[in-house]
Amino acid sequence: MSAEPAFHTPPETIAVDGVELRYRRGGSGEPVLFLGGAEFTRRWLPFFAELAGAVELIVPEGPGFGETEAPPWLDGHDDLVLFYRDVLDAFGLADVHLVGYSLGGWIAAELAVFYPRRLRSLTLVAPQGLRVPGVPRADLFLVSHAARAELIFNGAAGRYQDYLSEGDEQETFFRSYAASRAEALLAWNPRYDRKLDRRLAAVRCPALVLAAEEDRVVPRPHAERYAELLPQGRLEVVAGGEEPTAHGLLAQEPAAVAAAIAEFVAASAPPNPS
Amino acid sequence: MAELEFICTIDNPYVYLPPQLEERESLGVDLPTTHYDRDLGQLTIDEVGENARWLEQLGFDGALIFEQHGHPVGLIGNSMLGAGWLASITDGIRICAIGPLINAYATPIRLAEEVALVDNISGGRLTLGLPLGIGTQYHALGVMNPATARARHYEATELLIKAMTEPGPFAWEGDFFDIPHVNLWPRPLQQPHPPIFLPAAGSRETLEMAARFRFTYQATLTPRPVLLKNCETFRQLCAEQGYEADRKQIACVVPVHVAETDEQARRELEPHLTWRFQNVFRFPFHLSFPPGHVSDRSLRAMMAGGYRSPGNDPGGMSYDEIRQRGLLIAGSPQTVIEELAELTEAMGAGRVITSIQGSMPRWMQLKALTLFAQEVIPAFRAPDGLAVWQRQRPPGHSTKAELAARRPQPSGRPTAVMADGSEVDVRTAHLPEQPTRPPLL
Repeated sequence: MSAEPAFHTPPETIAVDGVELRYRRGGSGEPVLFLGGAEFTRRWLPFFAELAGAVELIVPEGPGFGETEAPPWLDGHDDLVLFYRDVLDAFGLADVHLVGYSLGGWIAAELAVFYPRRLRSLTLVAPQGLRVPGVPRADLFLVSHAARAELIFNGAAGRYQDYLSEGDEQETFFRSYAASRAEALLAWNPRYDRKLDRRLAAVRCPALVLAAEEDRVVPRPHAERYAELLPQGRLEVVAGGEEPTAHGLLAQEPAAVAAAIAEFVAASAPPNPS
Repeated sequence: MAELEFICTIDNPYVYLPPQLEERESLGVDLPTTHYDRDLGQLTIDEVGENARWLEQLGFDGALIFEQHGHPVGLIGNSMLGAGWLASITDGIRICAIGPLINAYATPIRLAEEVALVDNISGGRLTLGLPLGIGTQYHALGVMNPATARARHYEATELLIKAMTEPGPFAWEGDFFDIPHVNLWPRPLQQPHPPIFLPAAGSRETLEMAARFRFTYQATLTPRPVLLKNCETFRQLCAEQGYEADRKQIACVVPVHVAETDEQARRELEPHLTWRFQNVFRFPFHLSFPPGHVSDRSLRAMMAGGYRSPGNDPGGMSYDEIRQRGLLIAGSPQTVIEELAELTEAMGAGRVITSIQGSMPRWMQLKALTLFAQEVIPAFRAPDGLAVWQRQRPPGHSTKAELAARRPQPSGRPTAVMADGSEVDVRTAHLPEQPTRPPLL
């Protein structure tokens, strides 16, 4: 059988649009849907455990990532916007607090643009998706898995192997290649949605953008730009304890990131929660 | 001995590079252009043309160019443009453009136009290749997504073939191309279309495609056991398509170096081969295989001992290892004849694609090619020693007399309705009296 990573938990499965969507959930309270990036799948991260202490957290593994197979129709972020709308329906969630990290931040921003009424709040953590002239994001498609990990953790990937290894070397190789395929389907070219600049004005809910101090994957100006463009956007930089936070801030500072999101969710909750 | 066609790669790498730096993992994508010298670049490109003329004079069957993007491994960025140039400076040799990246084209119709044009200006001498493109090239152009490349390449190829072979106009409604009016003018000279090679490291998807379209499987750099298995798989796939593969449908890609003796061949070749393997073929996995470039099934098969499996990275190989793995043939004419016969017989191959070592002095390249042409090639030819292009009459015509003798029957002629209402053949309208027989041309 295939190897398992650290923090691994068996996923639950829900059928949505013909996709057997793997997901994990925990906690109770305000409903929060978390859309992740290509990394850190197949796990119930310490960050999730922290956040689930304050909210009801649902963490799907996007199509093509982790153990959710990519459907043949997946070839752009618009496919995922419609898919996650149906995910909300499948979970019976009329509206939700949406949190997106990295590539998932891009998808979350698109979902917020197309279905603004279904969001109670939007949190973007080190989000991709914007074009910021003169500040391209790192080309993760051009580097090895090991070099990619070093970019994510600013050269300290060795300390975060629990987050990076899929259990053994071979499993990590095959899974990271499979995930990169899904990533390429969504974001090979273009690597941003230039229409977001104009369309983010459609987002109606409170929005929090969490940035790392030194993000070598998606430079901080991207987060700043999101905060400017979102009508109710606010930027917060997550400070690192022993070292400046990097793109992998979820792994570096799970408690601080979870606390910032939990506080924001609480402040954005409807006055009379059902 | 079974007859063989000999094609030689004439593409030149830009060799005037700084010593390979340990920290640079490849020349593949981002070697700064500050290392490029304009004079030496011009020289490198000029030598490609000179190579084509050499090969024609020596009697090779074909001269082959690639298409490279974003690195010094080759300087011809457009295979069809290069083929058009070579067609214009040679007379008989087959021009093998192996070839255009069909995925780099916004529409395969544009490629079909280029193919048809080059086939016409070359007098039906074009052989086309449709590589999927090596991994590094996906980073260079910004229009090819490796995750959809295989599917797009397949649809584009189907459309290219249909545009060249079926009457236009027709509509194409595909996943990647929606073209209401496919209408290819001009048509290629060769019928039904120029021969097509499909370079393949051995992925089953590519072999299936070559079998289905009756392409030539161009077997690239692969260790011998995998190579022979691929050839067998290809023949089986052809049989499943309902035909027996022709030997010419397997092209054996192997660098060949001929010298006076075995020892001399090694002395001449080893430094250049080492340079080539340390520079040109130095592509780590993530550069060779961008995301989705291979299927999970093929990837697992490759890791189990095929092309670029761990421990099989050509970049780190010594001369002896390269020889042992059967990735090279070098020696005296007799040695080369024996090894070529053994390899092509084992593969069932009817074509050989060799190459010129771009870093060799020009005189040494010419000496090796001359020995190849005079001492090796005749062993694999009919007694007359003729190349395919000397043996086969080219399509189309070479002279006006030849054309007139064929008495083409056009479906129309240039006519106009003049001011007085009369319809005239404009070619004779200036004559006071119309000839009884209209001009043929």
